[in-house]
Amino acid sequence: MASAGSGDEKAAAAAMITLISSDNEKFEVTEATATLSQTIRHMIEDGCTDGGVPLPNVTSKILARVIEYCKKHATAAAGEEGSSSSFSDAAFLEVDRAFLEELEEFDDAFLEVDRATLFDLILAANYLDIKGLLNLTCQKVADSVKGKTPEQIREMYNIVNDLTPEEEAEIRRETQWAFE
Amino acid sequence: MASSAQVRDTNTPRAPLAVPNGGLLPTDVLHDILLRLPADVLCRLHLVCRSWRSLTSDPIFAEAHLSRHPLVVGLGSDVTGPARRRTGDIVFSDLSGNIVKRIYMRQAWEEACVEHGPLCICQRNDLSVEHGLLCILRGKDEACVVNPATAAFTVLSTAGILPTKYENKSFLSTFVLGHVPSTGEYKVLRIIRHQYDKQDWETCDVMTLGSNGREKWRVRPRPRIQIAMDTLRKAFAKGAAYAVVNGVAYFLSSHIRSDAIASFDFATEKWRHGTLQGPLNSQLINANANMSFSLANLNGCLVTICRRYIRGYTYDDCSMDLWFLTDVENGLWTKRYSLRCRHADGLVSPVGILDDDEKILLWAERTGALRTYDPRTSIATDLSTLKGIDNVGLYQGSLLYSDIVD
Repeated sequence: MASAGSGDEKAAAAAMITLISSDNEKFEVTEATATLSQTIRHMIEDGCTDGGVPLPNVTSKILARVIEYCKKHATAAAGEEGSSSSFSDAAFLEVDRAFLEELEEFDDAFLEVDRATLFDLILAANYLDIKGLLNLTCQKVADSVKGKTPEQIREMYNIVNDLTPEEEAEIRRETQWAFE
Repeated sequence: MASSAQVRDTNTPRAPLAVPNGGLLPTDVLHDILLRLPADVLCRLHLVCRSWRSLTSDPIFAEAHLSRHPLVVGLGSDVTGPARRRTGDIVFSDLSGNIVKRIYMRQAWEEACVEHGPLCICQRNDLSVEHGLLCILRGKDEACVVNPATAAFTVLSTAGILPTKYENKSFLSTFVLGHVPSTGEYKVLRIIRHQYDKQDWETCDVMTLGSNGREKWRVRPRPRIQIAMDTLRKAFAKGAAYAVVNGVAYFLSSHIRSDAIASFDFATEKWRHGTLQGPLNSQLINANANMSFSLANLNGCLVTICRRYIRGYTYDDCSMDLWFLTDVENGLWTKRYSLRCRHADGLVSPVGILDDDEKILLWAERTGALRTYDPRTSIATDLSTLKGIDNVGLYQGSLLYSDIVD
């Protein structure tokens, strides 16, 4: 496992979980970090994490980033509640402002990745059911779509335009207002 | 729509869908991303490809989008001159005051002139909104139904509106748009009241929309009580004298000291027997001289808005009780909100209730302020100022798609 985050001491005594990436790399994380993922939380509850949790859909490169995110945000939740309970919206709201700002800076820096990595992070967040990470990454994509023309979006997403000229004309007529 | 319905049913969307984004993201994630975008951006995305078009114009998607991005709709008005003047536009705005869509009615009306003869833009017009269709009344004998998703509109024929002998006599009219939930039909109810030989005459007609211009008015029985026509009532009750809820149009009585309500069923095209008793008893109404009523549809419930003016008939200081018809069968009303309006921004009207929390959305006519009111804390919070919009209401339809046959 990569170096432990500074906030992890408190939770260090807690049970450790081993996550195994698709390329068979093992990551050891605290339960507090791991349970930001609802998928893993359910596995822990069902007692099927002995011998490690295989994550065949996530590469080690992406899993390392996901763990980095979870550590930071688990610390945020634990720091507020003084326990290792999971990060929740309510707890998030109560975290003091300075920490919140630090967290925002962390998130901004975290999103400084190329599109392929961003999409991989979304897929991992979706698979692992990490609400905060999914929200963060989806918003980033949504913001990037806002100012783009349909042509630019096709290029971004590698989409082939399958609309007939007639259909395009019809859409333009219907949605003319949106282009004004 | 079939393909998009299939997309939605995919419960295990881990396997990326073949087309929408080159197989990069699962459909439910793409859905989540697109839900974050405002309606005008989404409409531009219709042009990306077929899959994106069907995803962003899907009714279920549109419904989810609307609950996340509530819209208000109103009539454009110009307040720069000495008097408030309609500009003839329909304006859609988000709650932050960003105009998402504007339909230029002046141009639309003029184009309609070719078919329907010359029309003029009148000062007075009224707006009734029902499941995404708009009905605009202009002048006293003309109405137009507009579908904002497609900007298609229908001028309601005015033929036979008055027998020849009544022409040029003064009359009042009301056009109300209704949606019949059981059949999905849209109908317009037209009531005309005119004076002849010092007597009031009233006619009542109904038209079903969507017959490709072959719509015909059908004569219906008159209301059982004299209902309030908007113009008459306006000076006193300010606010709508009618509301349409679940396929039934409710009208206040023209008797200003009464909160009794007449109801017209759009499905049967009949007036219901008897009147619906309002929330207050007549003694209370008579004991409070400074009281007025109006009706509203707030999130699918009929609401009687009861205003009590503290200092004469000024809106600067008045209390407002919102009574919800919680039991339609037995005519039981529940007072859910009670608030005091002391702002110097004229008439304050409830526009709707925001889905996520029980906050009520209010609109102040004079200043255009849009604000929420939290009944638990009695705190009002200004959201934005809507400039140049009148007759503001929460929009229940969608700008993303239309299932209405024009």
